Amino acid sequence: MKLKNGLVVEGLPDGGCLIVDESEKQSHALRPEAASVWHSLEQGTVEVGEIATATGLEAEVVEAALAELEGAGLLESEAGSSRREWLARAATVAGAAVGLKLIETVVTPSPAAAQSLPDEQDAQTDN
Amino acid sequence: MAAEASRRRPSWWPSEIEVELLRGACAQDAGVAGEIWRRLVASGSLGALRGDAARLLPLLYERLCAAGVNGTELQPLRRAYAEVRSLNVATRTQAREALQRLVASGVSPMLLKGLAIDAMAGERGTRRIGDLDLMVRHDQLGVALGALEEGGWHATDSSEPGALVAKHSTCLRRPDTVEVDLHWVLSGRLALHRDPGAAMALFWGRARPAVYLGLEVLTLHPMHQLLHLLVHGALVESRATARWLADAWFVLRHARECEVADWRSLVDDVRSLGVSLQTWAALRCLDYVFPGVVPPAVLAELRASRWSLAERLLWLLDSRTVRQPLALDVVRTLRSHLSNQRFRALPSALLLYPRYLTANGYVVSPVQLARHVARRRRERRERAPGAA
Repeated sequence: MKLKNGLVVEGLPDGGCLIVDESEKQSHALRPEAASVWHSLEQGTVEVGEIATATGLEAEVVEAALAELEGAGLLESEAGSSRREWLARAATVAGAAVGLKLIETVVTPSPAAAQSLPDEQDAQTDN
Repeated sequence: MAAEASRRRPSWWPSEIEVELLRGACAQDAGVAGEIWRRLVASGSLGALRGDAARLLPLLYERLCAAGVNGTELQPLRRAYAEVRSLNVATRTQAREALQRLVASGVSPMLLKGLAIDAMAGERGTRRIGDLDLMVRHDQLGVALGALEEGGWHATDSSEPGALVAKHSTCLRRPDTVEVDLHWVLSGRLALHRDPGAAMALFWGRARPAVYLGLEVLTLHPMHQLLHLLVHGALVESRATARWLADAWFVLRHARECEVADWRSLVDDVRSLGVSLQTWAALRCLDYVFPGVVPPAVLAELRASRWSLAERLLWLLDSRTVRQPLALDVVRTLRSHLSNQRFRALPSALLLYPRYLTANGYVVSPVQLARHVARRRRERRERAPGAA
């Protein structure tokens, strides 16, 4: 399991983090628990037990976070799509177990599309 | 007292709920932000927020996190924060490319508006960078346009040298990229100054070097940044109904932290620029939203200034007052097209006017003018405080 390349990671004020995947034009807002798991992965810790120890989280929360990270396409698993599908199902189960969705995906339009397009007159004066 | 102040509040000032939101979003004491948030939730008025006021939600979210507030009702705010922040990541990538091209061409770009506030705020994601507002010296304009056009940006209006000289900025677009608003005069209002070159020298003379996205750029002196927000904030054409107040508060706080909040020079500058009436009106609004933020002596001094007839007329035309006669709207619409022309060039501007309108896709016939005015009146009604 390895982290996807080319991601921009920024902290969120609640202790979580935001992972911007510009290639997919989407972002993922991680809750603090999932952010802890992400940071452990960044440091090379990949086993559930080790992550749980390093972060102080319950193992099932770590599993839920890993499943959601993989489901969001942020992890590259060598086991292929069957594992991804399994993890997606596991995410649902684990998420229900911890009672929390750990990652919220935000599909962002390109900045140009998101730009509030003023009419021509405003474009001249709304400097 | 409060009721009296409310009755006397000009119609373009923010609504009650917008004031609450601004005070919560800008509260230095995070506990105050928490209290205001609970009041807003209890009143059920958050759903009535108009688009521009909703842009304050990411800033409010940051303050609420600092206050330790949590709960499911924060979810929309968290989402708004994440959206703004991720959009800004992409916008900064595009900004870096544009700035890099300018710097490599020997141009010293000055950051304005969203970019300038982003440079102040570092990695914070509370303020959406809507477009890339940059200013270059007039003698570097040709080089700057060439550098951006090499990068695929294209001016959307006439690029004839004469047309550019007569305006204050030009908009450049590139597919899938935010617009670059390239200024050589700070704002349309200041382009009306009797000597825009001298007015701009005031700003360039006190510009401050900064490093933004790893590039050496310039920013306005914080008090000039405040001046720019004040001059622009109360304009009828401005789309920023509440956001400019948060920006002004933020810039003023930054100026205080840097110990450069020099009100004396601000008063002198706005007088020399002929915008003391507009500045006074905007500062009154800022002081209403954030009581005590403006020294009373500054308000009194600006109030006592001698406002020229031209300044009064321009304020009448530009202020965001809702109830105005139709004739004034027609005059304003026509004047707004001419406002980018220098007064000294007025005769030639009048001669070129039909061509100017056609070139820019503006109104070209009385029917279109009527439609244009009707639309702008409707928009103003919709933006008015208390509008549904």
